[in-house]
Amino acid sequence: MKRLLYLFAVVQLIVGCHGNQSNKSTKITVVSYGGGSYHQSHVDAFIEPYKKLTGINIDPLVWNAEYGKLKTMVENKQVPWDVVEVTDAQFIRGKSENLFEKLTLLPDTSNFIKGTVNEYGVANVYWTTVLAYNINSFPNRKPSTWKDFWNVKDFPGKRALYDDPRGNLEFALIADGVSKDSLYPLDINRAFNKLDEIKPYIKVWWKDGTQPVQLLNDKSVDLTSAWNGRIFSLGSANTQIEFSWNGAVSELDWWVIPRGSNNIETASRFIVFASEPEKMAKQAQIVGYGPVNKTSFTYIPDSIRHQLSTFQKNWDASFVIDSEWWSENENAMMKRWIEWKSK
Amino acid sequence: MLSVKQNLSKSFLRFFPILFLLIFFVMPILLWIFLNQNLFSIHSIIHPPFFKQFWVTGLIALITAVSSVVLSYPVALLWWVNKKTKWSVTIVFLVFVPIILGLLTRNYAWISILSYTPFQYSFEAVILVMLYIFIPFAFFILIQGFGNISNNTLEAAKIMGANIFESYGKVIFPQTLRHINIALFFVFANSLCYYITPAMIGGGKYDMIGNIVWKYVDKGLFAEASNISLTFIFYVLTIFTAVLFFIFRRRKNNLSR
Repeated sequence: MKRLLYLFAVVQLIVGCHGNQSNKSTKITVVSYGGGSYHQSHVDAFIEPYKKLTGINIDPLVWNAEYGKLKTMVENKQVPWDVVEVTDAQFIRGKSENLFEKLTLLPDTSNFIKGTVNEYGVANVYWTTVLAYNINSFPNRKPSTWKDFWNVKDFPGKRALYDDPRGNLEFALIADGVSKDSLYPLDINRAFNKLDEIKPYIKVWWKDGTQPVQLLNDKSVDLTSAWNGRIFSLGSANTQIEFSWNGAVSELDWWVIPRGSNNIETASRFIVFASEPEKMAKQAQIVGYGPVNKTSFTYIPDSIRHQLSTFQKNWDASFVIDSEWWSENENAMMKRWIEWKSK
Repeated sequence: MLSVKQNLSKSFLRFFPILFLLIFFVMPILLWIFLNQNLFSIHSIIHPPFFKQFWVTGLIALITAVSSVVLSYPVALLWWVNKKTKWSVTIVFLVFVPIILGLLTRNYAWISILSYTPFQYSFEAVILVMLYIFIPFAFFILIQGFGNISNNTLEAAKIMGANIFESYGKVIFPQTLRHINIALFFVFANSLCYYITPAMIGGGKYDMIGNIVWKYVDKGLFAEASNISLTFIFYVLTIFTAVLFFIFRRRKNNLSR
């Protein structure tokens, strides 16, 4: 029955688009995060095939998930964007602040990881922050847990972390012995006390995903947290960097339609199109993030499958961030983070 | 004797900047405070959030301002001494080149240059690159001051028997003092608002007020961002007004002397 529904969705998609073909001027704007290999994966796996299939023109834009920008846009009723990729915490906050349109069409949810399809959006990938290091800095024992990251005696070297409390508080607690299953609600004081220990060894607080890879390659730092996709997309060019899935933190990204978009129908169809397993599989092979549609794995070669965030072994070693907790506490944590850093 | 027309245009010219400030500066701030009544309070002025970063910001700006003026002054002097030769053009060109390069290009270039030194991602590196950015501005303001020195005063000094140091100390330096003040003020005010450079060059360890405001805007926490900015503006305005008052009063005293 579910399958039938799915088929129906696809048929509707194609028929619907044919209906639109009479109106060649239809154009939607799809805004995805970041740039670089990640944006390229969206263009190659979703945007170009969708254009080819439907003849609808798509304007692919990039943003850095500045929530304020989206909020201002919606509140001023100036919404040139039709499909936007937001983080999980932004998805939760955006829903409560009424920033999104309901989708007019949803994919078959039976093969999706639980909680990755919602009436206001469909998740795209799980991306993961891992512990990465330069192999030349650790010829003998390799760091593999956050305890090792904090262990400056056995693993000497300069370190870097993301300049944001999100994830880092969790890493500190794990390094302090908290199990990854009992992190939330976070013991904030304990986390900051543990961070005090590592602070003198942090050379760089990085701000965007390209930095950790560059820092490791230049040997400006020896170990750092990093986004797994950025290392994956180096491909065969990567001769120096390895990483560990232990205690890595995964987060969801969502496709949403900002309230006030002029093309809700087409935007919904695009989102459903991008959620098809083959399309997600194609994206995963470009960028190395984990598709939320489990059927995707059947389309992905073995060598790549085991490098993805949602591959069972990696999934079990890592954990998913509690976005509910973060959307409630982000403001207070941010303030404390900035104050703590300058202490 | 001023004609009525001249008087009018003069009073308009006086009035215009005030009107401009009222519309584009005072009104937005009042509106801002009004809209954030519940957030912006005397409390945040007495106990400013991120007090430490206020100091870091002020310190970076102060060091940048003083050092860039001190360092560019001899260059400006060199330019002035060689004013009528080809050297002056060369000097201006050399100082001007870094401005043509984009800010990001300069920052990345410095990051890779600094990687050969122990200063990569340090406070010293931030100051160095800030200086690199602001020295040209200080230089161009200073050569304006030198350009205004009239040769008559120098000749007069020579006739009176002043040696080169005396004529520098008593004739040249006082005439450039005003532009030293302007350069200091300009560099200080501008470097206060910098945030990309300290973030990139300092490895994220030295948050200036601009960085914090940006972080909050980035997260969509507008009220907090505006609260910090308002408190910062309050302090900066108070300090600037005091400094300006001091400078103008001294100038007035000088004139009446």
